[in-house]
This record gives sequence, C-alpha cells and structure tokens, in this order.
Amino acid sequence: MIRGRFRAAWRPGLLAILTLALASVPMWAPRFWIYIATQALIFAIFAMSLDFLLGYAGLPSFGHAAFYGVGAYACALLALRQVDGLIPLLVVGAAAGALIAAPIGALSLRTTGIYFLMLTLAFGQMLWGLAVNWTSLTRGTDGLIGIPRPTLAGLDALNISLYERGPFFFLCLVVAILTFLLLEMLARSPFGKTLEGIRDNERRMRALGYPSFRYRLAAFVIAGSIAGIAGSLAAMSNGYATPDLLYWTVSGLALVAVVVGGARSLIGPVLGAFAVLFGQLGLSTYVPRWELILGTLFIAFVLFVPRGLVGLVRRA
Amino acid sequence: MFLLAAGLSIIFGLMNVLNLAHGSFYMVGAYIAYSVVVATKSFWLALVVAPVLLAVVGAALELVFFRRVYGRGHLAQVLLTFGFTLVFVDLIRSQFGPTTRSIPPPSGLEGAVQVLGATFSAYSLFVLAVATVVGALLLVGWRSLRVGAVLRAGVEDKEMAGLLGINLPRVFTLTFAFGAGLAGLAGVIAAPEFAIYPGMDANVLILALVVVVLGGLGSIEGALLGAALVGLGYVIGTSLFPQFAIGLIFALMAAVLVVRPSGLLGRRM
Amino acid sequence: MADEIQGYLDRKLVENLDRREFLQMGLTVAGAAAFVACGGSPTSGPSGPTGPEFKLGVVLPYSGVYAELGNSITNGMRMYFDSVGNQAGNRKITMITADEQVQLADAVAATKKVVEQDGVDMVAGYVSSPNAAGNRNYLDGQKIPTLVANAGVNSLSRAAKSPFIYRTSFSNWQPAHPVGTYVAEKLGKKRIQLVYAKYGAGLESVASFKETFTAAGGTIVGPDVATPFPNNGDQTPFVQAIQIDKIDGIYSFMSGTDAVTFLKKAYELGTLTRLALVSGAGFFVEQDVLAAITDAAPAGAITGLHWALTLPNKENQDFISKYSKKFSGRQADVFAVQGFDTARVIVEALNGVKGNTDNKDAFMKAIAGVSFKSPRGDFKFDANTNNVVQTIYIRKTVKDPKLGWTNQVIDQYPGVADPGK
Repeated sequence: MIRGRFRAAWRPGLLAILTLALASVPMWAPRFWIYIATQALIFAIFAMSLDFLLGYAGLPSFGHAAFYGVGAYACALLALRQVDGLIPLLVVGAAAGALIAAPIGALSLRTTGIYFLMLTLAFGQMLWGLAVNWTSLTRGTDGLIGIPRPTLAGLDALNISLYERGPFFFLCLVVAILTFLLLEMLARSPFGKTLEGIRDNERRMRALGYPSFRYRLAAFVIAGSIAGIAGSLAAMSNGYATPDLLYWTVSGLALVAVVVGGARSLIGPVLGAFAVLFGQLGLSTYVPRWELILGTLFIAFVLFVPRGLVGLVRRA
Repeated sequence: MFLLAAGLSIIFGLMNVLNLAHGSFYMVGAYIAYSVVVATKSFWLALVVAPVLLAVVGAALELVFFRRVYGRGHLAQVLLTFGFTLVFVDLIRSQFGPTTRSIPPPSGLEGAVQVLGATFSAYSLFVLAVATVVGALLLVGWRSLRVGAVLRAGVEDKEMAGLLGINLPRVFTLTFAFGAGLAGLAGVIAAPEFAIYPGMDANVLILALVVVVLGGLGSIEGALLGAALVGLGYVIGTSLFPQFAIGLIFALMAAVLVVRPSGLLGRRM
Repeated sequence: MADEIQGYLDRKLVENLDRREFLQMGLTVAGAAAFVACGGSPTSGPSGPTGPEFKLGVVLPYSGVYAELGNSITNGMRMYFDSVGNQAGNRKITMITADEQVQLADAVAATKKVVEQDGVDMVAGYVSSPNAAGNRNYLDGQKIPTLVANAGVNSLSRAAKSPFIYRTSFSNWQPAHPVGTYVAEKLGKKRIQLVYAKYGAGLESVASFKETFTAAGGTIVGPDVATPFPNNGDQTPFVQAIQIDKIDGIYSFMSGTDAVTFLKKAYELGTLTRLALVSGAGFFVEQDVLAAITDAAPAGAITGLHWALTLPNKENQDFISKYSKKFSGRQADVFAVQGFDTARVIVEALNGVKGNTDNKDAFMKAIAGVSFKSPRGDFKFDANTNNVVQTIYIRKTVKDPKLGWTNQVIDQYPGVADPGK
C-alpha cells in the first residue's frame, strides 16, 4: 500500500494541465463545443464515481446509470415545481442517488464479480422500467421537459446567469474538481486503503476484523450519490429528464469511459469521458458511418492501448 | 432463446469471455437466413449455411482478436466486443439498409395448431422442438463425449489440461466457433418468428445474458433451466404487467442472485 | 448519352444514400444530376443564384430504428429541391444533415451542431415526438425557423406551439379522428377493442379515435391490448388478448417493426380473419410494413392516413413514378411525401420573401401562407395550430395486381385540422 507515495510527478502535472486546459475552453471554443465539453464534464463526474467503485472497491457496476437517472429525475421534479437554488438541487440529486443506492447495494453486494455486474444491471433496468411506466410521475418515454436552470445567490448579484453556456460550464468544472478532490481524498484515506485491501483479499481483511460488507456498501452509496449529483447537473444542463438516462447503455458507456481512460486513477475516467463523448456526440453529428469508426476505434484501443489513456500518459 | 443462451454460456462460462458481440452473431444469422431464403426459397438450406458461416466467423475473430484479451479481465472484453457490435450493426445496415425485413415460416409450418385447447402458431412449436432437441444433444455431448470432457477439463483446470497434452488454444477456438454457430442457428430459427432489423442484436443480448446468469455460468444445464424460467417468467409477466414483462424477468434474476449468488446451477467464480 | 450520365449519377446517388455518404457529398452532384435531367429548364439556367447560400439543417435519424424514415424523408426533400435546381429566392439551398438517432440527447446534440457550428438559416426534420418536443424550447428560444417533418405529438400544435415551429406532417390526432366516425357511422361497427403500442403516439391516436367513435354511439370493449414500445418479445399473448367473440373489430395503432411482428403473429394464429373489421391509423399497414409481411397482410383493413400510394391525383402519380425512377426502383412512402412537401414549403416561402430571411417574422409569415396541391391533396397551414390542414383518406388494404399489397382509397375527409387553439 505504498504505491501512492511513488505515484510520482506525472499526476499533479497532468492534473494542472487538464484543469487549465478545461478552464480555458469557454474562451476559445465555439459554442457548440462548449456544449459538448459541458456534457463531457458531467459525464466525467459520473465516470469518476464509477471508477471509485470499480477501480478502488473492485465492484463493476453495470447499473450505475440508475443513480444518474434518479438524480436527474429528482432534480427535474423539484425544479418543475418551482424549487430553485443550485445547492439544494444538487444536494437533492445526491440524496436521491444515495437513497436508491443503499438498498440496491445491500442486495447486490451479496454477490461478486460478474454476478454483481448482472445484479446491478437488473436493478438498473427495473428502475428504467419504472421511469417508463410510472407515467403520472415521469410522463413515460416523453420524459420531463422544460426544466428551468436554477440560480445561485452570489451569481445573480454579479449578473451572471447559469443559462449562459460559459458560466454553466464553469459550474460543472467546479463540481468536477470538487468531486475529484473528494474521491482522491477518500481513496488515500484509511477508508480507501481498506477498500483496496478488501478488493485484493477479502478473506484476509475480514480476518483482520474489517467488516468488508459495510465498507463496500459505503463505497457503493458514495458512488451512487455522486452519480446523483452528475444526474442533477445533466437535468439542469439539458432541460429534460428522460428514461434514456437510466438505460443500461448509459451504464455501459460509463464503463467504457473508465476502461478507455484507465481505471483506478480518477483522472483516467475524465479523459475517457471526454474521449467517449467527443467520439459519440462529436462523431455522430459530423460523420455518417460513425458506428463503424467508433467500433473500430474501440477494438484498436483494446488491442493497442491496454492500460488506457492514463497508461499512455504515464509511459510518455 | 435457449440456443442463443447456450452459445453464450459456452463462450462466457467455459472460456470466461464476456462476449457482447454474441447478439451480433444472432443478428447476422438472421440476415443470412433472409438472404438465403430470398435467393433460394429454402429455409432449410439457411438452417445449415448460417451456423457454419458464423462458426467460421467466430473462429476467425477468436484467432485474430479475442485470443489476445484472455486474462485481461472482463472489462477489456466488454470494450472489445462492444466495438464489434457497433461494427456489425453498421455493416449490416450498409449492406441491407435499415428496413425491417421478415421471412415466412417454411412451408408445412404455417398457420396455427390447437394443443390442449390453446392456440399456438405451428412455427412456435417447431422452435420449441428444435430447442429441446439441440438442448438434449448438447447435454448428452457435454456429459459423455470426449469433446465435452476436454472442454470441461480446460475450464476446470487449464494448466492440468495443458499438461495432459490437450491443445488448449485449439480447443478454445473451436469452442468459440461452436458458440458463434449456435448463435447463428438461433438467428435463423428466430428469423421467421420475429422481424429482422439492425438493432435486433441488442434486444436479445440482454435477455441472453439474463438466461446465462440466472442458470449459472458455464453450465449447459443452467442455461436450459434459465431459458425455461425466463420464458415462463415472460409469459406470466405479460399477463400480469403487459407493459413491463421484462421487469419481472429482471426481478426474477435479482431474486435468484440474492439468494444464490452464483446462479441456480453455477459454480463459484 | 445524357441518359447514361443521368442513370449513372442516379445510381451513384442511391448507393451513397444507402451508405449515408451523401452527407459529405453535398449537393453538387445532386445539383448536377438535376441540371442534366432538366436540360436547361428555366429554373436551372446557367446564371445560378447570386444571393447568399441558404443553409438548411436537416435533423433526421440515419441510424437506429427510425433510419428508414429518415432516409425516405431526406429522399423526398432532395427530390423536390433538385426539381427546382436547388435554389429559391435567388439563394442556393444546401442541406446539412445531422443524425437524430433515437435518443433525445443525440437529437439535441445534432440540432445544436447544425445551428451553432453550421449556422443554418432553418431546421427541418425530427422523426420522433420526444425529440421534437425536447428540442422545442431551444429552437423557439433561438428563433430558428423550423419545420417538423414527421413527429406527430399533439402538444406541438397545442400547448407547446411556437411561432417559429410549423409542422408539415400530421398531429397524432389527425389520421385517427375520421376513422372513429367512419367505423361507427358508415360501417355500423359499434363494438371495438383498442390495440396499441403504449407510448405517446399510440395513446394520442387511440384517444382521438375514441372521441369520435363513442360520440357516434360506438362502445370500446375493454380491456385494451397495450403492447410495450418497442415490443422486442413475443407478440403471441397480445394477439391472443383480442377478444374475438365479443367484438366487431379492433382499432390499432402500431408502426414499423412492431406492426410487422404483430401482424405476422396474428396471421399465423388466424386471429384477424375472424374479425368483421380491422381498423387503425394508416401506419399499421403502410407500405413499409406491407413490404415486409407480404401475404400476411390483413386484407380489407380500414385505416386512416393523409396519403396512400394509390391516390389517383396527378401530383401523386407524378411523384410516385419520379421517385421510383430517381431512387432506383424504390417505392414512395408517406414519409417521402412529407419530405417532399417540407422542401416545397421552404422553396415557396423563400420565393415569397425573395430570399430575405433576416426578417424572421416575415419569413415565418411567408411559411404560414404557403399552400399548394401536394401528392397528398390540398396542403395549407392552420393559423391556430401551425399544423398542416389536410385530407384524411380512409383506405382499404388490398392486393393490387400491379403494386402488390397496398391501400386503396375508399373515402375521404377533406380539411381535417387539429383542434388546438
């Protein structure tokens, strides 16, 4: 467990470059790309929460979109009922995510590995079905549309509106950085180290007196609540919440982002989220046969870049 | 459904490769059936051609790509095979267009039959019969033939099997080809029953995964049992909540996994 | 020689259409093809337009389950633009396509891309209702003139109406409404069970049918058969839920793949032939479905739609033959007609304002004032709803010796307008 100390200089350097590069986006990028970058940032927050689960706790969730979607719906439902205020809405998203994650985690954590993956998938799909069929609350496949963006007390005084694309991008950036710091702190804390220990050898950790189930459940709920935050940001950003947000393909895309970027690094998922979203949204709006290209890229990626984008950086 | 799940179970459970492209094999099988039926009017020819072609495709993919990612964990495999699903769907669409296609059931199997007072389409019963026969053959082959023994050995203990002089890489290629061929067979069988369109792969994949996991990985018996349960669950689900029959299936899987974390007949992984 | 070139270009175009590569090709080749075809007609004279380019953002699905609809609408648009030499009001018209796909997130990205990156003057498209509704606020806020070329969600003509968004296709209410009257009054069938895919369009369609049907003394026999949307599973239990003995017939709303699997299963089980009446919204037995199921088609089905392949008017016959010639033998469908009319609205409005689209109110007024004889009959907009006012045809599914399975027009309700205010 001393790897952390040797994690060497590449990490802070990369972080600084990444933050600066991102912060400068609204200054030079065209409006459309600011939009895509905002989407990517939100997705990055989501992917980081999954990486915490996957990379550190060793729990491959395939139903993570459930918490993302629940966060989005919670935020949307309140915002549509005239609840305003950025912080409360984000907190609601987080609480909704955590609230749903707790029972699902408690049940899913009875299994491990591929069974855990399938069980989380099952719960995710059940919630998706709920979103589709509970039409009185969610308006079914049509989704909730016309969600207003909230205001933040201090910003109004400065005459900054979150309806503007630049400020909203910065908001997402701030949340992303806070998420990163929080998860990084958790990962380095005794809590994180214990999680890694449980991942590597559960029996030994249990023998040492660690209640492994409780640790894992805590990690699951934390990841769920952060996914909920990402979901409520998505609802604010897009102005809608649809059942698509909970569909298994979203969970799959997040897993892809983590793997492409490189798991157990927290930076990797951010890079991965950008790569995947630019690949999907960017490519599909520009190139006709984007599926072929994206598919080929994935295949090539697995064969030639086994350690993810972070691995590339680390080697360079 | 069972055929597909059996193929997936073999690849997934036996070789420990999570193959998302399995649905694509099924889709390609259905399209081959469509092409053959349009060209020769013979469904039975398609029934032979598609599995063979897909077994070849499967073997080729295994040799060139999948071989390299054994032991890299499921996630790398998910990404790789997800890439293949995108490629396959694009190739199919560019070749056949996005239109929904369909082929009629082979002559002799059209129309409906009365069984115990209920009405079924003759073809549905044919599907059931094929699934049962293939299931039985697999079960017998698995338990008693040398191939089955070799495979089981390979799964249980790779090193030991290698020491015993079994050519594992070749066994794996053949296994993968066999699984892909089964998916192709499933595609042909499904073609007259359902519609043929790009995207049919994704719909069936999740269901097949559920069947496999429900029954337990790497167990032919499990896949059989899982398929039966999912089929039953679907019928009951449709009558209880028509909108969301699949929800009941997921609930069923969740319940089973919570009680028996390795599936009904699975071994601990 | 000219014919050969024309033939080659058309083949080329179609190949590219199939591969969706035409997006990159731009309109130059298509324009050239039209030029050769028209051979010096006045609209494509050698001088060409001198005004600034008119960029049209086309947001339609080219992948996913609705890809066929996207292709048909695009073909229809391209056909009309080509017929006028790809210009109007002294401006060259360029189509910039973006893939709507299936999910709202992708449709939103596609819309923003054409508006912000390409700086289009106008947007047309949207196959799926949630995608049209989900982009409504953005298009309205940015004041982008928009034509919805398929999505039928009623609210776009009602609560969510926008002065910048007009619809050239239909509202879900429209094709269903006259069917209720027709079934109850003219056919005298009073006991009907509803069969539909449970999503926005299905619910709105059956609600509209119910309105006129019960008003004319008909009874809806429960329980409704509501299939999941899309239904990827077996249709058998749903087909068997039709209560053959208790009803005169069914009214159905399903389309595309769902309609194909449902009708096939119903045919195998012999369910529909035991009913006195199969009725529905036209999509249930539209040409795409009939082509897939052939002899499993429900002969004699009565459906309502704003078009039929067999419409005898000159505009339609002309459209069908030219469409088939241009796209190597493809049969025209209702979506191609919608695309064709959408393009015509754009061209006529551009001509109306002499190419000046800077004054958006004037341009929208020009759009609102467009009316013409379409392949589907008289086409005009309703000032109350910004939705098309059109004839709804009552059609009967038949096997035509020449056309194969198709729908024959047996009655019509002219000037059907959505009741929005």
